[in-house]
Amino acid sequence: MRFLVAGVACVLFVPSVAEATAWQSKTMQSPLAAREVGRSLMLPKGWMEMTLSADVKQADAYWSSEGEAVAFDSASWLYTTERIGFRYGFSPNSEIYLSVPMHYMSLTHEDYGTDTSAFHLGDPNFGVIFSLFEQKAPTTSVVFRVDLKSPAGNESPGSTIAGPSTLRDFVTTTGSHDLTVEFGAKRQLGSLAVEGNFGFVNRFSGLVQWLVQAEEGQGAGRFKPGNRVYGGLGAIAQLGPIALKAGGRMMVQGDAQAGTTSGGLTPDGQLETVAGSSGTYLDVDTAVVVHYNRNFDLELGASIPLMGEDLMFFPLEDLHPTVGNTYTVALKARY
Amino acid sequence: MNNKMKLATAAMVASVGTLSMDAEAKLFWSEYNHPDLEWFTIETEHFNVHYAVSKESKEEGNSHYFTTEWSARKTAAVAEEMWQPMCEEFNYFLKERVDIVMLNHTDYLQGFTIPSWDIIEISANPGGYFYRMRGRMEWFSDVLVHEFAHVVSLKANTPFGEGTGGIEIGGLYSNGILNTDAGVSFSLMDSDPFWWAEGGAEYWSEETGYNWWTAARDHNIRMTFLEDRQLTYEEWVTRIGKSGFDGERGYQQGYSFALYLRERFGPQTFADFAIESGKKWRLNWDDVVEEVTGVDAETLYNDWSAYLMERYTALRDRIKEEGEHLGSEMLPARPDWDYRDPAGRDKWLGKRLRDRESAKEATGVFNYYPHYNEDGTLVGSNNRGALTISEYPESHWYPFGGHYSSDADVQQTARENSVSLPMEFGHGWDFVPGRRAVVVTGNENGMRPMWQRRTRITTNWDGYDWKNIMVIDIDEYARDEDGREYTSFTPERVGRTRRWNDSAFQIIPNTERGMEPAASPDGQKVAYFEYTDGTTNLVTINLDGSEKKHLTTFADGTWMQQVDWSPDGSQLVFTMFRNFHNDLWVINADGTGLRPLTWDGWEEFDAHWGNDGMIYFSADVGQVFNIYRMDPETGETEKLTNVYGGAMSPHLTPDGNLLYQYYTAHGYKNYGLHKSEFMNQDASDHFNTSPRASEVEEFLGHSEDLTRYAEVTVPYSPWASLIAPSVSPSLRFNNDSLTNWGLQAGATFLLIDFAEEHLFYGDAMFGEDVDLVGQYLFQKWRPNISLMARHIESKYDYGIALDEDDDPTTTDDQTVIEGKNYQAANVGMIAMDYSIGALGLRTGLGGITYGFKGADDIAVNPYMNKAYGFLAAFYSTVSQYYYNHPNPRSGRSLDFIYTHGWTDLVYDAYGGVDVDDGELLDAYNFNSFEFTYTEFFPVPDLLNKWRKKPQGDPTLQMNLQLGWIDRNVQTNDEFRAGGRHPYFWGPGSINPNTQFAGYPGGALSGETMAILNMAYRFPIATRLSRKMGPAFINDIYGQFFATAGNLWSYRPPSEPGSYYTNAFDERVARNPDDIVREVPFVDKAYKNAPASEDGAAYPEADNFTDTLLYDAGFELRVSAALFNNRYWNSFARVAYGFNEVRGLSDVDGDDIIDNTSSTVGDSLSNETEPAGVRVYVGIGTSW
Repeated sequence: MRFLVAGVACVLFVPSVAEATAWQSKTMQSPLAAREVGRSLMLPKGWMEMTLSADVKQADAYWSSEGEAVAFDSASWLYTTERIGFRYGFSPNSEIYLSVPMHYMSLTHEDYGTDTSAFHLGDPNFGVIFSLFEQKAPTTSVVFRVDLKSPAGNESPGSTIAGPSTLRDFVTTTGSHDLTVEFGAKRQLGSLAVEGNFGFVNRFSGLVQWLVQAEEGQGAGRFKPGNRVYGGLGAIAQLGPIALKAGGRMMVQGDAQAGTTSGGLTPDGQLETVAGSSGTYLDVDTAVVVHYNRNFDLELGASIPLMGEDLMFFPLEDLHPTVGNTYTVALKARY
Repeated sequence: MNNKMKLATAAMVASVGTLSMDAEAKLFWSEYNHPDLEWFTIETEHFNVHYAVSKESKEEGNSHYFTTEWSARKTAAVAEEMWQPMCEEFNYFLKERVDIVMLNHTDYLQGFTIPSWDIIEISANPGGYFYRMRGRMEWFSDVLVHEFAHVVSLKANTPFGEGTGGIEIGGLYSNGILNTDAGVSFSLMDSDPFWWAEGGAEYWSEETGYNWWTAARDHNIRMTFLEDRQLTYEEWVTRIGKSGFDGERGYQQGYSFALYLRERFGPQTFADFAIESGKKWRLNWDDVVEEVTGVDAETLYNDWSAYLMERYTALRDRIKEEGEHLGSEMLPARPDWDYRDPAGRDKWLGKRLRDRESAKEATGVFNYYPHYNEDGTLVGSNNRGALTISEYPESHWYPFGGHYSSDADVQQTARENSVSLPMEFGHGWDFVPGRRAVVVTGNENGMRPMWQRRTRITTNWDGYDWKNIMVIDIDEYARDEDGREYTSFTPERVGRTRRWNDSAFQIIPNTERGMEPAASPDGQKVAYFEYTDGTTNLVTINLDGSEKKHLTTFADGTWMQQVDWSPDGSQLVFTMFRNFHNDLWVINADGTGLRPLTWDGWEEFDAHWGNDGMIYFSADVGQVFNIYRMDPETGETEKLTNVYGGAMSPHLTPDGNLLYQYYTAHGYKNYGLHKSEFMNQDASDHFNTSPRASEVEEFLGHSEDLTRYAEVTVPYSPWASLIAPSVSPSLRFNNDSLTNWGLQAGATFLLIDFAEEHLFYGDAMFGEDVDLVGQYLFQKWRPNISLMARHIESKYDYGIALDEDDDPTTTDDQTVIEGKNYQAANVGMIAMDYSIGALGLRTGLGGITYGFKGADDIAVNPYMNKAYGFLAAFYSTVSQYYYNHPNPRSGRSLDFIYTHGWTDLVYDAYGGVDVDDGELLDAYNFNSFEFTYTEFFPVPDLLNKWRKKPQGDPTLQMNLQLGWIDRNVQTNDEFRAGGRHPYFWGPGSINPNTQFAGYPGGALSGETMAILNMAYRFPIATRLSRKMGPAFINDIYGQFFATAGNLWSYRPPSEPGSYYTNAFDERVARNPDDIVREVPFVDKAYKNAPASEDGAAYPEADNFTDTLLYDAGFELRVSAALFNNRYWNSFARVAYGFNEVRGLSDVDGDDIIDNTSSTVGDSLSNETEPAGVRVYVGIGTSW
C-alpha cells in the first residue's frame, strides 16, 4: 500500500514542477510514439523516463529437482521488489539506463515459529541499448543491449549457519557481477505488435559474505552463479489508450560454482561445481498499459510461472525463483 | 575488527573530510551574492529576460543604485525579432523557451550561453573597447544574436540528448604488489571545433541580418595572413592553449571561413554542418565537413588560406604601390626582427615560430591611446590595463628622427624614465594640462589599501567595483611611505624600487560608472562618458567633483567613445554609435549645439582635436582604417597614413608628428609617423560633413517604444526560473582488490535558478559500492549557506594471514583466509562561506556515523560517531586557470583548518572502546590544526641555455603541510599521508600529489605532521599544438620532486608492568599518563617505521629506524584537450621511497592482512613496505 501512496504523490508532484521552464519539452527530442504498440525498444533521443514500480510475489511452493511445484509445508514467502529506474535517450541510436531495486521480504514458518522480514537494497543494473535498425509507422525496431549488474544488495544472512530456520536476515544479492548481452526486436502490425528477445548472461564470480568457506577457517567463500541463456516472445494489442501485453519467457541457467579464490587473472580456478544447481524456467507474462498521456503510463502486470527447477539457493530469489505469481504495478513518467 | 577495516575507515573519513572542505562560492555567472537587488522577469513568446533593479534608490542614499529595465526591454525586443530568422537558418525551431539573464551590477563585458541549460547571460554594460575588436557598437543585437546563434546551432549540432552532454568514463587500477596505480578518464561528448562554433555564431548573425564583415574584422584576418600568424588547421579546433590575439583570431578565422564556404558551396553550408553532426556522433567532428561539402576539411582550409592570401597580397601590393605611409613602431631599441646583418637574421630566424611571435607580442598586444603631454616631455599609452608613461622627448624616438638605443641604454632609460600606473583595460585617458598628472578610467576599489593590494584580500563587502574617473599625480611617486611598487623617474634613484603613495591617486567624486576622461585645455575640467542602463552620456565635471553637467541625456542604448576638447575648450568632439549610425559629433561645452561632424557609412572614431585646430580621426574608407585630418570649419579632409594594417587613435604631438595605434597580427602597437611623411592626400569627397538638418533632427528624435514589455513583466520567481536539469552520467571501473573489480554507474545532477539564489547538486553512484551525495546552497545572502548529506556503502575483498604459532619465521603453519568487508557511513554538514577576494572563509558543523556489517549481522554495527565544528580559511593567489595548467608559475596558496571534534567509539565487538597508541579510547574531544602552504617561484632557466630553441620557463614549487592534534586520538582522526592518484583525489597543482608519492597511499599517520615537498618543473616541449585523433596536444613538462618529513604520534608505554596486552594483541597502558607524545624531528616515528633488527625490545626510541622519511621522483606532464573542448591532461610519475615503512593494515599492498602477532605488540600491521619504486599513470586524469 505504501508504494501506491508513493505513486500518487508523484502524480501530484510532477504537474506542479512542469510549470517551471526547467521541465519543458525540448526540440532536440526525437519523436516518441504516443502508444505502446508503436514505441521503439529504445527510448528516443532526449527523452528521460523515470519508472517507479513494485512487484509482489506471494510464494507458496518451490520447484522440486524434478521440476514439480511442491507446496511449502508451513512456510509463507513474500518477496517484493520496489524499483526506481531511469532511462535516457542518449543519442539518435542509443539509450542509457539505470535501475535500482529494493526488496521487502517476509518469511513466516509456522513449524519453526519464525517470522522474519527485512528491507534491503538489491542489485542495481545499468547499461546501454543500441538501435540496430529503426523504422517508423509502422514501427520496426531491432536493438542490441549490454547490461551490467553490480552486487550492491545485502550479503549478510544474519547468521553464519545456513538454512531457513536460522536466518535472521535475507540476502538480496549474489555478491557477484553479471554481464548481459541481448538482441531484441519489435514489429508493429497496425494496432498489433510482436516482440521478442534473446540474450546471454555471463555471471562472474565474487567473494560473498553469505557463503562461508567452512574448510578454510570460516572465511568468506567465492561463488559463481551459473551463466544464463534466455529468450522471450510476446504480443501487444493496442485498444485506444490501453495496451494489452502477453508473452512468455524461457531461461536456462547453468550450474553454479563455489570455492576459494585462486591467484592470477582468473580467480575461478579453484571453484567447484555445485551439483543440481542448474535448471530451466518458463513464465507467462501479461500486462495492461494505460496511457494517461505521452508523459505518463500506468502498467499493471502479472507473471505466472509454468515451469522451473530447484536451484538450491532459497531464499535468494535471483538464484532460486520460488513458485508464485508476481503482480506488478509501474508508473512511468517521462519528459 | 581487523586492521584492513581500520585502513578503510580512515580512507572513508578522509574522503568525507575532503568533501566537507570544498569551499563553495557562486558557481557561475555572478561573482558576489547581491541581496540588495530585486529581480524581475519579462516573459515574451520565446524568452524570459531576467533583470535586476536596486531595492534602495539613489535618493535613499544608495550610491550603487542601478536599474536594468531599459536594457532588458531592448533585449526582449531584439530577442523576439531575431528568433524566427535564426531558427530558420537551421530549420530548428525551438520548442523550449530560452532564459536571458541580464547582468548590470558589474561594469565588465560578459556574454555566454550554455545551450543545454537554455540560458544566455549578457552584461548590459559592454565595457569600453568591444567596438575596436569587432568594429561596431550595437551591443544588444550583436551579443544577443551571437549567443542565440550558439544556442540554436549547438542544439542542432549535438548528437546527444541535451540533458547529459556526454558520459564521463574512467577507472583506476591499483596493484599493490607492483606498486602501480594506473587511471584513465575521458568524456564521450560533443566535439564541435572552436572555429565552427564561434565563427559560425558570427556568420549566422550576419545571415540573419544583424552582423557584417567589418573593417576591424578584416584587418584582423588581413594581418593574420600577411604576417603568417594564422591559427593552423590543427590549432584552430580548440580554445585551449591560446594566448594574445589568438582567441579573437579564432572567431574571425571561423567567420571568414564561413564566408568563403558561402561563396563556394552556398549560404547553408555552415548550418548544414550542425544538421549533419546532429545525426550521429563522430570521433572527429571535421568529418562532417567532407560529408557536407565533398571536400575534406584540411583541403578546404588550405584553399581558403590561398584565397585570402591572394586577396590580401593584392591589397598590400596596391598600397605599397600607392606609397605606404606607416612610420614605425615606437620602440627605444631596434627590435630583433628588424635585423640588418646575417648574424641578426640567423639569430631571429633561429627561434621557433611561436617564440618569434611571442617576441613581437612582448612589445605590447593591447596598446591603446598613445598621447604626448602638451610640452612634449611625457608620453604614454594604455597597455593591457596599465598606463605606461615615459619621460622620453619626441626627438629621441626613431620614428621621429631619433636613433635606436643600445640594449643597455634602453634598460637604463626604461628604469629611470618610466612609470606604470593602474587603470582600466582598453579605456581612454589624458594628460592634465599644466600638471604632471593624468586622468584615467579607474575603478572604485582600484586603489585599495596597500595590504589589500598586496594580499588580494579585497574587502569588497557590497560586491560593487564600478568604474570611475581618477586623477593620478605622477610626481607623487617619490615618497617612501607604504605604497605600491613602481620604478621611478628620478635619475639618481636608478634601479631602486620606489613605493607608490596612495595620496597620488584621487577618485573624482560623483563619477561613478565614468569612462574615457579627457582633460580640458585649462586643466580644470574633465569630460567623460557616464554609463547608465545600457547607455552612455557625455558629462563634464570639475576635477574636484563639482559642477557636474550632463551634456547629453540619452536613455536608449546610445554609446559614445573617445571625447576630446577643442584647443579653446569651447567644444568637444566624440564618436557616437546610435541606431546603426557611427559618426563623429561635436557639441558645445555648455551642452548646446549637438551636431554631426560626419554623416556617412564609414566607421569613424578616435577623434583627437589637435592644437592646430584640426580634428584627427580614424576611418575605414575602403575597408582599411587610416588616419585622417579634418578642418572642422570647412570639412576639408586629408588622408595622413596609407597602411594595409589598421591605423587608429591618432594624436598630434607638440612637434606636429603623428602618434597612433597600429594593428598588426601581434596586437595593437604604438606607431609614430613623422610629419614630413604624412600622405596629405585630399579625402574630402569620402566624408559627408553637411547632412540635412531635418535628417539629423529626425535621427536625434528617434525613440523606440518599449513600454509594451511592462505588461509582461513579473516579479522573479526562482521556482519558475530553473535551468534545464543537467545530468552527467558517469561510469567507473575500479579494482577493490587484485581479484575484484568494482563497477559503478550513476550521475551528477545540478539544478540552479537563473538569478543563482538556490542551487542543488546531487551525485548518485550505484554498484558494489554506493555513494549518494546531496548538497543545497542558499545564495541569497552575502555568505553562502550550504547543507550537505552523504551516504556511503562500500564492499571489498581482503585476505587475512593466520599464523598458528605467531612466529613469522615459521611458515608451515601460516594460512590465508578470505573475507569480505561491508561498511557504511552517513555524513551531514551545514556550513557558511564567505569570500573576501583571495581569502575564503568557511565555518560549519558536521556529523559522521560509521559502522560495519558482518555476515552474522542484520544491521550495520556502528563503529564510531563523530561531531565536529570547524573554522577554515583558504587563501590563494593562484588562479583557477592554473588548476589545469601544467606549470603554475606564480602565486601562493595557504589553507588553515581548525576543527574541534567529538568522537565516540561505540563498536560492540570492542566493548564500545578502541585502543590507539596504547590508550583505551571511548568518547573524547580534540582540537586539530592543519596548515598547508604552497608557493610557486618562477626560477631562472637552467636547461634553456643548452637548448637550440628555448621552450619556456621553469618553476620551483614548495609545498609545506603542518598539522597538530592536541591529544592522542583514534586512527580515523589522525593525519594521514602517502601516495595519491588524482583519479580519486583530484588534480594536485595546489596540494601536489607528489607529496610522499614514494610510499603507499594513506599508510602514514600521526597526530603531528610536518611534510615538505619541493619540485622543480621545466618545459620539455611547449605550444606543440598537435592534433592526434580526437586529442590536441599542447605542452609537455617534466618535474623532479622530493619530499621530506614525517607524522609523529603518541607512543605506548614500554616498561614492564606499565601495560597489559588485550585480546587483540594490543598494548594498553595501565596509566594513560605513561603514553608519551613523540617530539617532531627529535623522536623516531614509531608508527611509520619498522623496528630495527633488535626491535623486539619495543618501544625503546632507538629501536625504530627513522625520524624523517624521504622520497624523490620524476613526473612527466602532458597538457591536452580531448574532443576540442575538454581539458585532458595526463601524467606519468615515478617515485622512490628511501625508507622502509610500516603503518596501518595492508601496507605491502598484497590485499592480505598479516595478522600474526606484531613483534612490537601495538595495534598496527606487522607488514612493512620496503624502500622502492612506485609508479602512477593517469591518462586524462590531470596530475
